Amino acid sequence: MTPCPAVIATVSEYVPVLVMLIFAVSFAGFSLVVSVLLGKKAPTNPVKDAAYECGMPPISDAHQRFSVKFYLVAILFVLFDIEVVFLYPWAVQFQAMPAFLFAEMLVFIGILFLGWWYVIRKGAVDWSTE
Amino acid sequence: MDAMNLHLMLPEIYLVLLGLVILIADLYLAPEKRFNLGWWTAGGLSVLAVWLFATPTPETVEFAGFGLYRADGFALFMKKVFALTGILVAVMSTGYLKRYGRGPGEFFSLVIFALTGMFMVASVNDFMSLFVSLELVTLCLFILAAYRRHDKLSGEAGIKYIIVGAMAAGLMLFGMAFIYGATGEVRFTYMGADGQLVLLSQTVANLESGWQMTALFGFTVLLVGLGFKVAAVPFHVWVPDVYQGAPTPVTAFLSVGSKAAGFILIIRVITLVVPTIAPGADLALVDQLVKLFALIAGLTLFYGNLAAIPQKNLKRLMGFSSIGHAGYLLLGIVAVLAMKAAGEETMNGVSAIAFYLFAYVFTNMAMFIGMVIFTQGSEDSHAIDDYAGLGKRAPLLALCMTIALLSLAGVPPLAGFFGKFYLISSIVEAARLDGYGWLLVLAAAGAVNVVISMYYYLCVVKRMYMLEPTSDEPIHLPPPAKIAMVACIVLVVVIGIFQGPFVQMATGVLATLGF
Amino acid sequence: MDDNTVATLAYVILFAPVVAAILITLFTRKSKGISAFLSVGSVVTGGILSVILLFDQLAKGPGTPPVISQFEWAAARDSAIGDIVLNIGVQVDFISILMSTIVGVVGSCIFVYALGYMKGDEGWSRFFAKFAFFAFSMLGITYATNFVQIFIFWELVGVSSYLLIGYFYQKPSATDAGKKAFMTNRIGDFGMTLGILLLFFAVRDVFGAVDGFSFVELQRIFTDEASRTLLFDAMGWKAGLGAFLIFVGAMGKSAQFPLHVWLPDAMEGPTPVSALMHAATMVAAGVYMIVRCYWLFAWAESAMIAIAWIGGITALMAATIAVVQNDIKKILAYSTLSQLGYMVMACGMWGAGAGMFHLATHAFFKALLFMGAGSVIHACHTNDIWEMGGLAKKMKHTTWTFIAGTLALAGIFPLAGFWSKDEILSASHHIAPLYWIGVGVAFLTAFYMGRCVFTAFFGKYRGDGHPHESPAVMWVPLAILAIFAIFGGWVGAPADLNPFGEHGLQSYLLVAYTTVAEGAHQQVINWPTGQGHMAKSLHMNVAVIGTLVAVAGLFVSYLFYGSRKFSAEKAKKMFGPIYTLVSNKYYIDEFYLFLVKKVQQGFANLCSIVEQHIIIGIFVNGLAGGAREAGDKFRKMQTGRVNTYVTMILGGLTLLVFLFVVGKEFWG
Repeated sequence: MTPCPAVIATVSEYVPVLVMLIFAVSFAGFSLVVSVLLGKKAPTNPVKDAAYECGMPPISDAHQRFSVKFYLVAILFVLFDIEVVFLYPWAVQFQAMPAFLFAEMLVFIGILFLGWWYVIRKGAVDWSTE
Repeated sequence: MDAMNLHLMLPEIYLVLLGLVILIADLYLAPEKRFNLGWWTAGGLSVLAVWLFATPTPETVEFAGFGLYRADGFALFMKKVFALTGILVAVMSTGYLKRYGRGPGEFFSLVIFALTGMFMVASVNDFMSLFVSLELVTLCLFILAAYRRHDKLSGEAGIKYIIVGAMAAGLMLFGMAFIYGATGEVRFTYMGADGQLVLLSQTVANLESGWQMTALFGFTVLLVGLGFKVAAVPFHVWVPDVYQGAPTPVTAFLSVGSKAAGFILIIRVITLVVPTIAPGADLALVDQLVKLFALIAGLTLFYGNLAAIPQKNLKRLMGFSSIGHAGYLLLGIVAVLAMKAAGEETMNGVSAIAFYLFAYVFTNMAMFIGMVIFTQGSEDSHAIDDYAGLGKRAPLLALCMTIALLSLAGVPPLAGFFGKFYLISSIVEAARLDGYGWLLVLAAAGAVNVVISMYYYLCVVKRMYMLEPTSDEPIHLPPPAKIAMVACIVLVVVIGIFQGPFVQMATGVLATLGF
Repeated sequence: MDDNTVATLAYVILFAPVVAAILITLFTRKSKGISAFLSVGSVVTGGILSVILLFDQLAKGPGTPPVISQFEWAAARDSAIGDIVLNIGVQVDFISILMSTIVGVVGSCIFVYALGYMKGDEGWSRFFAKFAFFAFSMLGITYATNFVQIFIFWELVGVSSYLLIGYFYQKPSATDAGKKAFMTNRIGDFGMTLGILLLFFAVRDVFGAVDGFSFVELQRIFTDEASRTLLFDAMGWKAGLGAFLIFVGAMGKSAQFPLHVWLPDAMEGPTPVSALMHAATMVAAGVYMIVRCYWLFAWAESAMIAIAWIGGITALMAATIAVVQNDIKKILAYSTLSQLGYMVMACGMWGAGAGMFHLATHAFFKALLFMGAGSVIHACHTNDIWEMGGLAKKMKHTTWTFIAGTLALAGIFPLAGFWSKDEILSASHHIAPLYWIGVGVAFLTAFYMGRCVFTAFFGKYRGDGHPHESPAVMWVPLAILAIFAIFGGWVGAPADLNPFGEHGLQSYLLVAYTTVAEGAHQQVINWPTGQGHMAKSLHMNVAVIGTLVAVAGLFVSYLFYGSRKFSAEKAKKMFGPIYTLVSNKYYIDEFYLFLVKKVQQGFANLCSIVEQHIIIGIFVNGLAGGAREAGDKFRKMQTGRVNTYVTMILGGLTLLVFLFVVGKEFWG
């Protein structure tokens, strides 16, 4: 197979990705270092030292009972949280055709609202009933 | 091209609204009235079907959504097929869910959202919208497959489907990325620099040979992902388990809707992205694809039909039979690809596939409605032996199922026979091209498999008519399901005898396949 | 009427009976009244509409172009030999309307008659459903626009004939007769298929995209001298062969020698069936097809001569057999055979007009005779004319109508048969042997009909029942048909005797197709009589000879069976060996039986050995076992474990990439 010359030509396009990568790693490192330096040193305990796994004990018997409601709320949170991400590209493109995009976002939010309404009516976030 | 053209997407918008109405209505209806939502769904989809059938076949391609969406004859035809499928699924689910007794609102809105996905699949003009719309279909079907969540088999079906489906989706994206890498374009049709419409296939044709290899790799991986959808061997492995475990109406929906969606995308990719090689040019890419698809088609045909023989569960048998049918449909794809490799833009394979799918909807749906009626909405008597003596217990049901099975087997003059006939003749036609004489072997394999499939279909018929009933419990035929089943059977016969208008409808899709 | 109305009416005529048949079969099997109403109603409607169409056509005058309406039924486009499109529709012109009028009017009479005849039969609804289905099939042939359609309905007619002959399925002889009719017809149909395809492919080779099934397209080709010559040059001897093979189909349906054997046996069916199908309409389908495709036959000289001779031989052979039959329905059956031979003979001598005219008159008087015979059988409970006698006093209506039919069949002036037989004899005037065969047949016809009438209706009653007149529902149709049998012939009489003058039946019939064929006579054989226009006056010599032999035949039969001047027994002895030969129907059935039992059975035994040991042993069981084995292996691949599945998918992908993407570099 002949090598593809185009590949070499386009490597420079990945420089921003590289920059992003470096930035991400250094941000994580920076946060850790800063929190160690500035934070109050409290006594440790095993629960506190355990890895945080969405609010569940990470190591335990898989056969024990737990409330499914917890996951329901968590997933609903993720869902509505994710939908907000769509607002960013929308905002960037907004100037292109304001009236149409405004209407479109109204429809989008409207459907989201319907979903929220549905969730409430279904009692998905109601912890009291069994 | 550069316009939203929302009016072209009205059917999809209608479907989304219908789904939302059903979803919300479910919240406010009294529990015993909720099962009427099935009739709402069937009614709403019937309106859509009438609307689509009244829409004239477009003579030119129109684009919407800034080129993400195309409205052409093929899309319209497939939308008709999907709308009819949806109606039949809604009709058969209503009785089924009443018996099962759980949440009809979500079920029907999921069906409608899956249909929305299928409608979008029919109109994709872009790798991105391809992926998104296909995933919309698949996500809804994951949930539907696991809908009987207290039933082990159904849960198993859902889990298997989601795992294998996720992998297929990943592969599909992987393949798309390679094609994008080679061409720098995700749109199938786009405005070129000179203001002319360009097909992605032209771009692919102009690639240097190294990049062509990249594209070929991309096609291979992408088509593996799509092969998962259409149940092509060896990417079919999920089919028997999922078909068996899923609720029967969902199995019906999977076997027709999901498969049709996969075939639409394969057709879109090979008509819009795979180039037609000019005579004398380097054949490499397309020629390799012909061989690849011929191999897959042959394997699928033999695997589906041979593995169906020892089955003891009718639903599982239908799963294998559905693999066999995918093999037939792939013959049409091979024919189109071979034509492209020889530089001919003859798309008879596509119209054969369209006709086959149209006939397959009614045949398969009649069969599944029959199964739902027979099992009375439960899932515990799908063993083929349970059908013994059905001819005596419920003559009408047995007759309809027999006709459906014969049509599936391809017995003239039923619709299924002509579907197979057109597909095999498209392959025979392709075999007349220089260097593609070996395709006749594939045509012969198609013919041999008709015989093999005849065997296991007739085994079911034999049990219905030759054996004594094992139970004398009467079988109640609920009127709506009965009417739907008989209507399907009548259509199977009518399509077989008066093919003229239907063949015309199927060949009508060819005019706007390109730009 | 405009073309749309004409086409719509034709569709109604065509589809009304099949709708009735479907409704009866699916819904009204239990209620006899509604079944009969639907069935009879559909055919009577068809009859009335046909008559309306006929008058419309008459008003429009001779030479009106056909109205064609068709829709695409099935198509294979862009195939190896181009587009093949099969159409179904109606071609409405004078010939098809005339035929549909015959089917409709005669059919109406017979359907009404059947109401009386089938009274009390348990299969009543089944009978009327099948009967209506037959009417549909027959009308499908009548209105066919192309060879494929005519062939499809040709087969449907065969099926309905099979169903109706075997109507009394409890009787083994009836089911056997049904099978015999079906199989004999299939032989003819096979020839027809070959002929149609031969013609189609020849046309496709020469003219490319022309629809080589369509009647109008073919007619256009054959009419135009240039294109005809082109086609004939390309086809060579195959042109005659093609025409003859298509005629083989007609031989089956119209029971021409040597495929005639099924028709006499077909009399096992109920008498209304015999009257409608095996006398008036279905058996005339062959003649109708020759007339329909006359543009083809007229130019195929060799085929025409074969057709004429086959017709002549059939006519003579059947007439001689009719003389020695004792079963009244068998006499009529052989008479039908003989008359069909007559029509075919006329067609074969470029006298299609005469053939079609005789078809029309024959349909009326033969249906009449059969229904009269049915009425007699109904009364006497026997078919044997020697167990009847003296019925004239007891069954006045039946007797007089039967005599009218007899005289019409014998060709006595001025009844219907006279005019059409005169046309046929005129057509064969110049081919001496066939002309004399025709004359001989005319004599024999008068003789055996006289024998039948004198024996059954006069003299003393020899049976032991109490025959009485049939109910009005049975004899009224007889009377209607008798009126047609007596006066119907005038419409086709030569111009100077015709009440319509120059505008008689022939002027319409001939213009419909012989404008083409006229040239053919003059070119193929230099024949001056010219069927292209209506005969101005009677051919006196033909008419006189024809009438004389008919009267002579009746007179001789009177001497034998009426006054008993001569003894039939003595005559039998005198012609000993000939009598044995004839009364055994020339041993043709025995010959076929020999062929089937010895030749075919031997071959079948051989095939059976091959099948048992080689095909079943090795191929079927071997392959089936292999398939099952493979299926079992494949089933085991389905382990039910997701990790196996994922491995299989990824393995498959790797293999494909290796074979087709990477591997390409290794093996191109």
